[in-house]
Amino acid sequence: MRIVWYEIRKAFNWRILLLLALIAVIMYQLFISFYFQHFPNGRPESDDYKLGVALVNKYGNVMDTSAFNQFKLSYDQDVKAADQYIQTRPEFADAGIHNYAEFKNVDAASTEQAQNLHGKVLLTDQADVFWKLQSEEYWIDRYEHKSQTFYGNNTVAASAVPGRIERLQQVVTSKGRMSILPYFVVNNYMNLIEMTAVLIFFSVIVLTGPIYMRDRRNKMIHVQYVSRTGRRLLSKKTVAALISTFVLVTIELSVFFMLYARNKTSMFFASSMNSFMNDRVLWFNLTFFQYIVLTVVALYVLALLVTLLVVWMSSISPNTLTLIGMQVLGAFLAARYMRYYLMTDIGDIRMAPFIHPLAYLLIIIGIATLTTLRWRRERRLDIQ
Amino acid sequence: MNLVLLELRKALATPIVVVMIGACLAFNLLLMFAGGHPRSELQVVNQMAESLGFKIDAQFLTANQVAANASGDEERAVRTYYANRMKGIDNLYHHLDLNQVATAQINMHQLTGAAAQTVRGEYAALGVRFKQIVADGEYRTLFFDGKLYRMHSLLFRTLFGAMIFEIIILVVMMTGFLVNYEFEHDTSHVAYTSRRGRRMIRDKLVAALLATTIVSIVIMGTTLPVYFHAYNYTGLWHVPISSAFNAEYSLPYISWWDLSIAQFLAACVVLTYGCALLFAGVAFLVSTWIRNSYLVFVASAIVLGVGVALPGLMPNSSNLVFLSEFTPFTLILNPHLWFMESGAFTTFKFYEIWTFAVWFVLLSLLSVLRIKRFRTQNL
Repeated sequence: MRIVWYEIRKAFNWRILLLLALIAVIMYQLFISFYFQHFPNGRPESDDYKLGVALVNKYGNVMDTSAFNQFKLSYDQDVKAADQYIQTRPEFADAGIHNYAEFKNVDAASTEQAQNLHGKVLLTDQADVFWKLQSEEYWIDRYEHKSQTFYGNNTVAASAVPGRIERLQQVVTSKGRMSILPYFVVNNYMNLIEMTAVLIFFSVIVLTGPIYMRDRRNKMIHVQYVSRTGRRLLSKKTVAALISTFVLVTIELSVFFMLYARNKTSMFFASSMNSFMNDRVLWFNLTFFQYIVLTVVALYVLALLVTLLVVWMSSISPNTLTLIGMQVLGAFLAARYMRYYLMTDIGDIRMAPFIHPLAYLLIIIGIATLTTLRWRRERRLDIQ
Repeated sequence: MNLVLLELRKALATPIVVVMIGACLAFNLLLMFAGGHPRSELQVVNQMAESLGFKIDAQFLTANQVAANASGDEERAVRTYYANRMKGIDNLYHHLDLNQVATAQINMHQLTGAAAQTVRGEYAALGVRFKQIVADGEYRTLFFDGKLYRMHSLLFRTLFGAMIFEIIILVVMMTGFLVNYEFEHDTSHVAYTSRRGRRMIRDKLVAALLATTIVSIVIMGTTLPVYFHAYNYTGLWHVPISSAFNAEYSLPYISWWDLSIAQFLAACVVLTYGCALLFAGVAFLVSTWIRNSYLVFVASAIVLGVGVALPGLMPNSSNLVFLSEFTPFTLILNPHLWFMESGAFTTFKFYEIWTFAVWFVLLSLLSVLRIKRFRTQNL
């Protein structure tokens, strides 16, 4: 145990810590900060966000049919407010607009005066009342068409994955379908966790890389082999690397979720991912919070698997050039494919339900085999 | 010279370098064919240009009509499609006002003061060139329809973007490895006390630059021939890059010079190689400060990241924001916009040339200083 602790201390030396901090700052600046600073991103997203929050406060996370009817009544109230707005301003009457219905129908065929006024009210004046109505109409429309899924007429849905159509039919009639979870809240979280995953993969790869190289370079391996621990050292190093990764991922994710809390999405946590306002359907019933937990668990598992792979790379590389080369290939695969195929896409109905368990199983078997073979070889390895 | 070759062998004979080059080429193939570009349709465009020339004039249109009537279904469809598209292109070019583009760019990036003034200046200068494109009819030329196939993006954005990063990764890896080789293999005490001694650092730099050249030749020299074998450009080599058909978005590509596709390609190849040299220089400098090639690689990646993030940290009102774009780190990000209109920050006529020249001189000077310093340094 003491050796494991020494190895961890060696891994977190000040130079590596400095590099890890710099990597985090740069990646945050380039790829992550955008999704914090621009959530919700402009109009109409911010209006949709406000509406979503108001609906959850009023009806809870599920908007059943009676709540929906109430919502439509409040929409009628808002239309009246808009009518009043229009009637108290003479420029509308001048342009031939007397109520909200006429305002809404302004299009390319209308008079130029009406078109200009329409643009001015929405874009220059930013009159909230019209933006709000637009959002409400969008939500009402999606609720009324909640039996149609994003994949409803898609060839994906019709393709030969058994149970997909049945699952879609089951989802659209379920109570979860009525829950309130705007698609951009989910997409924002997905973008954030995917880029954070890339940061975590890179950090873990940089942190774990030198674990074996460092001792080989200092010719410490020879001394270590003749000690009491002897060649079991590699397994201790592996354990140390896994613990270091766990610590690093925990720190980075803690910071991430502290920042994410400022996006204020917690009111949607209890909503089902299969909501009428979300663009994705899942194979199983998860709330948004459960989905977040799922992605976090997947991220931990992936980070630990990447660690085992990098320990293997570090222990077989004859020089740093080889190590860096292998790490670059690994980092590329992790950053380009792993972050969604093996994390945010889990449970997505566009994929066959057995794909993810199978993929994880194969990867775990593959990496476990590499690690065991390496441990066995280590026992009989000639000293260089 | 012998020493240089031996150093070169150290880097290139490592199996991982060969494996990585192989992986890069495989990835390039994937990028090339994943888009599902219809090769037979593209071939028709090529034939049109070969038989009728690529300049679109009345003669071209009549001859195209005749050819369309006398051919098979697909060819007729393609020829008719292009004939229809040609009717609309004058309109855009006669009404496009680059001052409005400048205003839109200024609003988009929220630029004020001197910075906004600079952007207006850039687009005013580009406007002169644009008038020439319209007057000479440079835009009235046939090319694969950019709005349909995005061939310019496929080649110069996707493929060149990937090749630049691949070359740079390999170059930085190898440079860091070579420069620190003696320290990492415990041969420094022998090597640096030999007759050649500490002058060897210069051989290492030369070897790294040679390795850069070889890697650039191998990556570009295999990827590009495969690309042009898959997508035939025979009749289109002399089409200007500013052709209306090359345009992919609402604003067409407007090059600063009357470059043909072939010339533009050659310029991109040369500049890619230039960027590779600059990055070898950066990696060399980092290696002379950090004696661990693992950390050299990570530190170089961080330098790249800082360089890319830098413009975002500059005040929107001052000309510093443009200065921060004159680095190889931002230069490599948009190879498809080299030598042409490229947004508010980099639309300067000699942006690419100045960036390369200034950094080349700067890195060379610093390298010479570091080599001199190395002679008297405490090892």
